[in-house]
Amino acid sequence: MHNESDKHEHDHSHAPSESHGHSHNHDHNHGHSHGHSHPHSHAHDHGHGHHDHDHDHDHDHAHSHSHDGGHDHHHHDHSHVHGPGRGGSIKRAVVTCVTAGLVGLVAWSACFFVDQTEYVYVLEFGRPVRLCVEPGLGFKLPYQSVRRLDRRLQMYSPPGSTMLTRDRPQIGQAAGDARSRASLGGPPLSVDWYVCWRIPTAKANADFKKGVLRFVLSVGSIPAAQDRLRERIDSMLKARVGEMSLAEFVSLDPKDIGLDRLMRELTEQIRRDALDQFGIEIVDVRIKRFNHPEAVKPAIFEMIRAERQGVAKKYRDEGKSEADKIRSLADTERAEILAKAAADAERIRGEGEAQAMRIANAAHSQDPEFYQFLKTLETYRAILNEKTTIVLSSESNLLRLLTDGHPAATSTKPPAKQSAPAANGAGPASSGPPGGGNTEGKP
Amino acid sequence: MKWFVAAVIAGAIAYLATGIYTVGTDERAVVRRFGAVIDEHAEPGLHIGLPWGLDRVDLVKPSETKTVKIGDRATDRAIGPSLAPSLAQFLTGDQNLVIVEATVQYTITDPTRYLFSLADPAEVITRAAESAASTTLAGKSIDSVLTSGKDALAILIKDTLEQNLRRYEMGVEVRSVSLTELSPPPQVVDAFTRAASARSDRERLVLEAKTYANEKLAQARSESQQRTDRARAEHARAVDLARSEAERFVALLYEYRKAPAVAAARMYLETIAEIVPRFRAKLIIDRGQDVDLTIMRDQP
Repeated sequence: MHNESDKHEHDHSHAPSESHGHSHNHDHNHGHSHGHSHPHSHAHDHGHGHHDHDHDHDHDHAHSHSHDGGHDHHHHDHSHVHGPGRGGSIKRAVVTCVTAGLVGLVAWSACFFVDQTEYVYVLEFGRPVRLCVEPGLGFKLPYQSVRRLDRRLQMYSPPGSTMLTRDRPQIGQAAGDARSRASLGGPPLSVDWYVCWRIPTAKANADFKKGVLRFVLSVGSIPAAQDRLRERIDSMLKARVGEMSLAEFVSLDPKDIGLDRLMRELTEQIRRDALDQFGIEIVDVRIKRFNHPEAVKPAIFEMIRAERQGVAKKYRDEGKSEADKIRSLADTERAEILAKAAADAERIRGEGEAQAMRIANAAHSQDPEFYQFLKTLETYRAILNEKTTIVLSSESNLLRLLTDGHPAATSTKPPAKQSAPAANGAGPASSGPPGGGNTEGKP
Repeated sequence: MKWFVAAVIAGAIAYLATGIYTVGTDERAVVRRFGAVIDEHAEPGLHIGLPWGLDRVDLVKPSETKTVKIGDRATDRAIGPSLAPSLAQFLTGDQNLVIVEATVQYTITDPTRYLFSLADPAEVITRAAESAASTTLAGKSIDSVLTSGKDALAILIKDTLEQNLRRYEMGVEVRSVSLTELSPPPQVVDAFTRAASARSDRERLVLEAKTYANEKLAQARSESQQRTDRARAEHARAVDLARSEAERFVALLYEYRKAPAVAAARMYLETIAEIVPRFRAKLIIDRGQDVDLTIMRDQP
């Protein structure tokens, strides 16, 4: 055993030549190991009657540059020359061959590689004896076997299973009555989860070797581990989901949603169990998707349709009422504008009239009597027309001249001026002053 | 025997040749010897290592963008509708269903981690992305999801995905999440279309009402403008009239005052002369005499 390991250390420094020996160990590694580390005499003995000895010879030749086996070379040559032992030499060669093969086999079986992605457990007739953590070359006794453990992060996502939420009694109704969905909880959920796990690693846990041992003893393989995890997580999750309502999965209010908490707590819960019982390190458990099970989908679609109808109706109603509101607001505003305009117009008109009156007053008040006289004349013009019959007293001022003739020196002025408006202005306005004529409207 | 020797030599050389490898310009090689990593970032070029079985070389392309898909309906169909809920369907916060398909693009930032710390990095990313999509959609209403669009949702999913991936230490970086599909399930798409059309109806109705309102108000404003304008015009006319009349009066008065008696008599008589001929009948009676009104009937 010791020799073997020496040889392997040697390997490292003389990579090319040794690699050869290595891979060929099954058939002719023996030649090599001889040359290197076996007692000389032994090698010699073997080499002597060797028929297959060409082989060794060539072999050495091929590698002579990198091989410090110049000595060997010599020996072989020598044996070649002295070779013609024949007879028993063939038999010897066979023996040598077989022996070397066996030795090589033993040597090969004493070493193993630990890959970057693995831990390797060395087993002795099935009993775990040693854990190799460091990647690289490892050694064992030939009768020991190795168990390779993938230490990479494993992703396991089983097909989803249907779980009942807390609102479960309403399933039947929910399927039947689409409209009551809002008030009811929800139908059962189909929940898919995944778990990320690996066998315990040094990074996470100083005591990880125990964990790995537990994994080897109690679980052994990745599929077995996944089965265990599925059972565990499924039952835990079912229990947890049973305490939750659908609103904790989906809600418009972020405070309601308990998904993250569920996943975190589930991870914590399973992490302890898995490590203690199976030697599995859980990185996390997450819910991958959740949905209504296919069986209730038609009912769900019916609900969604009903809900959309409600939404559509709401939109339409909103549209109508909003439009109505806008219209009536516009109508009101219009009425207000018009009313205000009418008031303004009235005010402006009033102001105009007032101003007109002020102007008229200012002018007329300079001589009210003249104004009255003037206006009366104007009024006559306006109110007396061709349909009017006028009855005049012969004594009226107008006709006095006609009836009385020209007065010698009587005052014509005063009556003409003074009484003209009074006497004749009777009309409809002032009735019957002393000398007033009588006018009548049409019959 | 010679042939045999030659074959063995050829075999040996061929075997040794397996230790030679090249690394491309956009590649990095991670070299494992006896399983242990001895070179994490072998540079581009020709390298000589141990032959097959002893050295293992993994080539990665740090610049290459890798892609995984979630909610891929192609695989969905392969699984069959009866087995699992549609892979692309997600529940929204208001308990609606929405179809989401997305592609996640990522690059390798740490080849050693990427190669050796996970059994199947692509699957981990896919599952984590699915989880991210589920949890993101669980808090959104279908309407907000459909109206705010793919890009907004993709950003949220990417954030959650990055959080999910952080604890796996995979040596990858998520470059982008992009949604290739975002729609209601085909079974109810008609109902969604109707709701959407109702929504546009609402907008149309409101718009119509607004147009009506604007029209009416504009009308009212112009009408009121007209009214006040008219009133102002009347105001001006009345004032003008009054002013002109006043001027005329003042002018007359001025002249009148120069010879009041004459002016008054003339004005009076002129007026009489003007109006009296217009009358149908003129009766002149003496004071105290009765008037026989019947005569008026004969005349017409």
